[in-house]
Amino acid sequence: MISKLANLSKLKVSKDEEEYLKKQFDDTLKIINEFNKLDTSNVDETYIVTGTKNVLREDVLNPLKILTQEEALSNSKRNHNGYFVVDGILNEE
Amino acid sequence: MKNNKQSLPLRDKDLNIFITMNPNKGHGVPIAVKDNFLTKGLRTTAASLVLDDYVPQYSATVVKRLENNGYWVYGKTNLDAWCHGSSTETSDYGPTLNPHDSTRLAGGSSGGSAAAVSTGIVDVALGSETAGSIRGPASWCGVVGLKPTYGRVSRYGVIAMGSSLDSPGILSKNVTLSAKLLKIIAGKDENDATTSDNEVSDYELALTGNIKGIKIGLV
Repeated sequence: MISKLANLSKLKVSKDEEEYLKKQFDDTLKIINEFNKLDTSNVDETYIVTGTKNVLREDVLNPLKILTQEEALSNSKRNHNGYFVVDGILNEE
Repeated sequence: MKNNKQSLPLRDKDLNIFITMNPNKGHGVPIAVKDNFLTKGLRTTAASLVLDDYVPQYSATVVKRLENNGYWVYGKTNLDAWCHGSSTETSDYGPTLNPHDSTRLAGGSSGGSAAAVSTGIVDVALGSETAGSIRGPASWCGVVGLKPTYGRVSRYGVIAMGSSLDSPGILSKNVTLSAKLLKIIAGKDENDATTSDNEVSDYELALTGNIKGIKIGLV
């Protein structure tokens, strides 16, 4: 199972790491199995405790939440003329 | 806004409580803030090197509310990377040690905030909890941990672990301070649609000392 998950996540997991993770997964599943012992037949399912439902708002701009161009770019590693610069992902040919 | 550990008192350095100190000394009451709360202009890492040089353009709603009520951010505290853990061992900046016994850990994920209060560096700190991340480290460090009901406190500007479960809350020296702070940070926020419309009570007034009829859980 570990190697399958690693493969799906595109992660390389060594044999040692696999053993380590296997133990961690086993421990987690043991705890979950403890929960499964609880009798919840008289407990209603709870999805949300706040009682809020279908919270909507007008589709209007909030000027206080708009970043200036300078602010928007402030965490970029590379930018040029107000744009983010990233490595190309397609060949030109 | 790089980490400037040289300027920290020895105690902070020994225990690895803070990731970033606020270089701008403010007025009012200092508060330590877990480093998954965005603080405008002050580096916010979520204890991950992925965000090592991230400087937010805006502050979390709860940080803003505290600043508007006479608090200032003293520093950003250590946590498990992205809050994923219960001990601060997964922090990319190393674990926070327990102020009562530095051979042990402070707990997590809000371990830095718990240790900051426990050492007396600050009286109050912000933490966040998805499943034990406030109450756990509070217990390990011997301080008061308050995990509000989901939706009581806005998550806007808090780096998420589980959006349908995350609850920003408080670690403090005593229950009165926790009540006082909760009144400030709780309440509806138009930037977090899951916050509750319910009126915010005066929690401090509710501390009458009478616990008759109150249900107490012991874990």
